[in-house]
Amino acid sequence: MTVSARSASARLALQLQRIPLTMGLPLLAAVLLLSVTLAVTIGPVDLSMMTAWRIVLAKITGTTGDWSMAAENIVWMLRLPRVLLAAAVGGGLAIVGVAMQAVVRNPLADPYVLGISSGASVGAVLVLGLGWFGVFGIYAISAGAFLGAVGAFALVFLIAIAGGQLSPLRLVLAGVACGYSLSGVTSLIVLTSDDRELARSAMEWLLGSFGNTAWADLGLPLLVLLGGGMFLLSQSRALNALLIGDDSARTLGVDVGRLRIMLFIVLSLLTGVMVAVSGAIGFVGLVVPHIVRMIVGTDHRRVLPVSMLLGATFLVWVDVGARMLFAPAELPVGVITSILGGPFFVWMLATNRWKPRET
Amino acid sequence: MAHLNVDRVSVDIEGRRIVNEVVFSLERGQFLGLVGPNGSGKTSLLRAIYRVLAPRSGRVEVAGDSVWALSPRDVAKRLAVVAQERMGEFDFTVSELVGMGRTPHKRLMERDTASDFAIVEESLRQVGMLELRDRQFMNLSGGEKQRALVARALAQQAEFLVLDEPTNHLDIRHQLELLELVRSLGVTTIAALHDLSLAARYCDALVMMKDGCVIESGSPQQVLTAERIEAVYGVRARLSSSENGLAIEYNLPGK
Repeated sequence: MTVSARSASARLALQLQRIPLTMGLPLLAAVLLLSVTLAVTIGPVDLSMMTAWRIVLAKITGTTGDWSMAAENIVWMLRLPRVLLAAAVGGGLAIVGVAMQAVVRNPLADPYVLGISSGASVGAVLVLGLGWFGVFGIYAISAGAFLGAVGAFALVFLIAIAGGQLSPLRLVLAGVACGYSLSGVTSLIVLTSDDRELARSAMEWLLGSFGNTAWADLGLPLLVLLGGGMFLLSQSRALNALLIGDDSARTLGVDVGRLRIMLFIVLSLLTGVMVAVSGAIGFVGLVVPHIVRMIVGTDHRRVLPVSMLLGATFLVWVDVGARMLFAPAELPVGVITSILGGPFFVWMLATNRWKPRET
Repeated sequence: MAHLNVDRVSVDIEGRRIVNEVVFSLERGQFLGLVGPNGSGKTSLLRAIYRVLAPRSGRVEVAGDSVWALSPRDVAKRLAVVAQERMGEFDFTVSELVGMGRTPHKRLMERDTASDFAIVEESLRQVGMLELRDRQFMNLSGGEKQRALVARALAQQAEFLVLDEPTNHLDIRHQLELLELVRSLGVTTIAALHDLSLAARYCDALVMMKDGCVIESGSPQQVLTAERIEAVYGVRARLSSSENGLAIEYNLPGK
């Protein structure tokens, strides 16, 4: 990038930072709503946006209309829950990424990098391959993934804290180490299983998908997203302070130890639930917060809500791509996010967006 | 009642005694300078005072309350800190950074009010950084960074200021301006300082430390003598009075 282009983009960023949230957020919410509507109309059966909305309104108010039963089922039973889940998971993964990056003070952190998604994968494969957690019935995979995510987060946290002080670098290294080991465990379970189908079903889950989403799958993710989002937003100032360092945060009145533990609980819950309902979708928590910070700066009071809306919109469109690119075959969502995310990661490193700590 | 009371404070780090039974007190509005060579325990003592490093034994009281009996937030309302800090990978604008000084005063979800913005602006003006408010902190020079951190401490509107080598990275003019500014605030201040002449000129009292122990405390004239400087720093010193207080000339021993 040339100097003038860089300063032009800096000026643009400064102007965007001046846009008050009261204008920016409704605008982004409107974009999300439009995206959801469009995503519902796109598919093998073409529907108009008008029809889609009328069906949704009729369903909510309990009336009927002049559309076919097939159209109603496609909108209400097939597409809308799926699109909404994609939005919830996208928003959730994005704010998890934001908060994790603040906790480890490193913009390269996300559930994937910290090994938490790998933990969830182990849990899911234990269910698929060995029939663990059978008591949870149809929610067994979700329960397994959730427990795996929480377990992995706890493991990473304990390893990082073993040396006494919890340093951001130790947390990242512990995450990477655990991620590798847990991926190995997943492969081991899949390869040593007698179940021939396991490799395929595990693969499908590991790559992430919103296929076969029903309304019943939506409640928990939405609840956790709202609860977790409110909690994180309420801690915005503390998260800001945490970014300049533990000591500085303490001198600004933040109880750093307590905040870390609370964040640990909330982030495990958020990641666990999101991964449990959708599989291991990588890089959303990395790409979205990074782009958002480039636009609105570092203040979490802006970054969190904007990331949530942008993350939701992003994943809605990725899911549309997953359905349409190779239709009628469906791509796993995680494949697309990885193909987009990997090069993005490299670009971050190459353009010095991520600067090593100055000494 | 003394505004700050440090009562037999000892700090251990990894089993080693870093600060040993330090005792002193500070009256409201006084400016106390903490002097001593590298590794004498100044920073650790300050960290114990601003409630980041738990002392092994002893008490630190601000206006009669032990800082370890108060919540971090209550301490932050009373006591603002300018420490030697390094930013991580994330950058803030100068006004965002200074605005963080308002953190201990804000409740959950409370928004910045017009008075918060006014306080931030006034703090920036006091350190002469108003023009640079929209710059990114990391792109500032060392001296500008230091002044921005002082502005953040001012925005905290605490009655007590702790400065750990505030004149580090500052050129001569900014060193003088910063210490003049701190003096003019009339806020109770404790500062770790390296420059003994500046310490003598701006401080009401000095505490001189070596190897974690207080060697001497009292007025600058009492504390700063050629013999004591030689004993503590291992340099020969020649002191002479000058227009602005004290001029000190140093030499390595044997030269």
